[in-house]
Amino acid sequence: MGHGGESRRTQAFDGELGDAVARAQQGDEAAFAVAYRLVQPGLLAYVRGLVGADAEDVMSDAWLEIARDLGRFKGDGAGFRGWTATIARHRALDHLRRQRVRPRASALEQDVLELPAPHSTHDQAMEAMSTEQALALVGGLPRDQAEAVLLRVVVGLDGPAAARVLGKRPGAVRTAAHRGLRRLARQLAADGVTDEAPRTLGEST
Amino acid sequence: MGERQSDGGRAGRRRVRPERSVCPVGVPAAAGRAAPVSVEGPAGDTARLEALLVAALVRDGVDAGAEQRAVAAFVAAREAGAHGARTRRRDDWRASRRRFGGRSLRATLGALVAGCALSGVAWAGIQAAGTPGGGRSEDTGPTRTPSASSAPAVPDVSGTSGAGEAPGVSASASAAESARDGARHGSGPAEAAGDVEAQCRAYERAAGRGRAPDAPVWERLVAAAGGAARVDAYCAGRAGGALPTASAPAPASVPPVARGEAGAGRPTGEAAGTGSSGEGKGRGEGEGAGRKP
Repeated sequence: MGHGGESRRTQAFDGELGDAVARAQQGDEAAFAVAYRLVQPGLLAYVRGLVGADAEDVMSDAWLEIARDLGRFKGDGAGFRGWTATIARHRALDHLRRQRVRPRASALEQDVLELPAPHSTHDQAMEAMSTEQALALVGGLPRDQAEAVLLRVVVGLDGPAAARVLGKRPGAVRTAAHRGLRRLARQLAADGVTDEAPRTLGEST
Repeated sequence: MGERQSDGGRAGRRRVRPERSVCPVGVPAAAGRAAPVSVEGPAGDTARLEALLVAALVRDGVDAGAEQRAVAAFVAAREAGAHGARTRRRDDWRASRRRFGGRSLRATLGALVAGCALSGVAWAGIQAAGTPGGGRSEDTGPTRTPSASSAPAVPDVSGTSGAGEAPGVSASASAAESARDGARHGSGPAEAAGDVEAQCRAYERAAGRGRAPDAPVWERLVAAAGGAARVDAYCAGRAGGALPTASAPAPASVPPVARGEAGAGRPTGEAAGTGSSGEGKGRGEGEGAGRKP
């Protein structure tokens, strides 16, 4: 299915990113800063989906590792996205293991269930989804679907790259992303983001 | 898909209303805000959802402090010479290696193994079908027949008419023991009389149980009787003592045809023998029906 918007956006950046990475591997720290600025927002969003509010700390750790191991990396801009996403994911999973906190059991979820207040119209919900709301929506997905959606949509990885990050087969990741997006669309189309409402509405249509 | 489409339609309508837009479905106002989304239908819906997620989750701009820490770590690593480290497998994200190296090697090996297994199965199948007595399939019957049973049996029939009764009796006895087996494997033209009898028996048994007999048996029987409606009468006639009288004239006419056809290894040998042991009309039809397949 069309992963149009984000893929196109990231593909436009990938050339620039590849150049920056290549120069950084030659020792250019300004180029490294450019690569950081290109990659960090998406990675942070992905890690936030995994660990919630601790995402900034986790990404700091991840960038230490990225900065240290940059010389080992081989590949272009798109490959750099996948490589950094793998490192960020490992750091996030380490963090979760340390905390013994499941990504979906964060306090965010509770906040968000109250966010779409009864008087907030559907149009507002669709057009101005808050970060917390979106996180709760994604967090409501099964773990594999959430990760597949985030890697493909937010980090901008293609199917094989996302599959390599997750250590799964490309077909499985494609299916997971597809299902996750469909479920999100159903929930968004229904009023509110609670789990019960969309299910009944989705079946009635 | 259907769900998504209907959902998208509903969402689109609701979104469109407050903006007084005339676009019917799928071109949301949010498209201009985020990614270029102009497609209609499910794909456009997905793209719109992705744009929404990106807009909500990805914050443009980075924390300056975090960036500086990362750059400082980079400089430190560079000074420490860490950037000369060896590339591990997990660090190699080159597209060529990833797409064509790893995967195609595995795919090639898989195809190789599968090919070997399949060809082995095919070879084993050919071997089993070609080995005498190895297969139980219908095709192997006629090919086995000339070498195994019809060669000794045919001279007996064509030789003396006195001895002609002996194989008929023995054949009918053996056929009676294993009626279905004898009918299926078709032990040769010389046993035509017993064959028909066995076929009749099999037919009656099957009819008694309310089932159709085995297709080849039934076909032969119909061919011999000269029509499906006449099978009953035909069998009744056979059972009523037609066997001795029919087998007497049979040896004179059967062997040339039957031997030639059986020698050629064609399945018509059986049908010809079956028919010829009865009336002349039945024989002609039997041959015709037997040659068809």
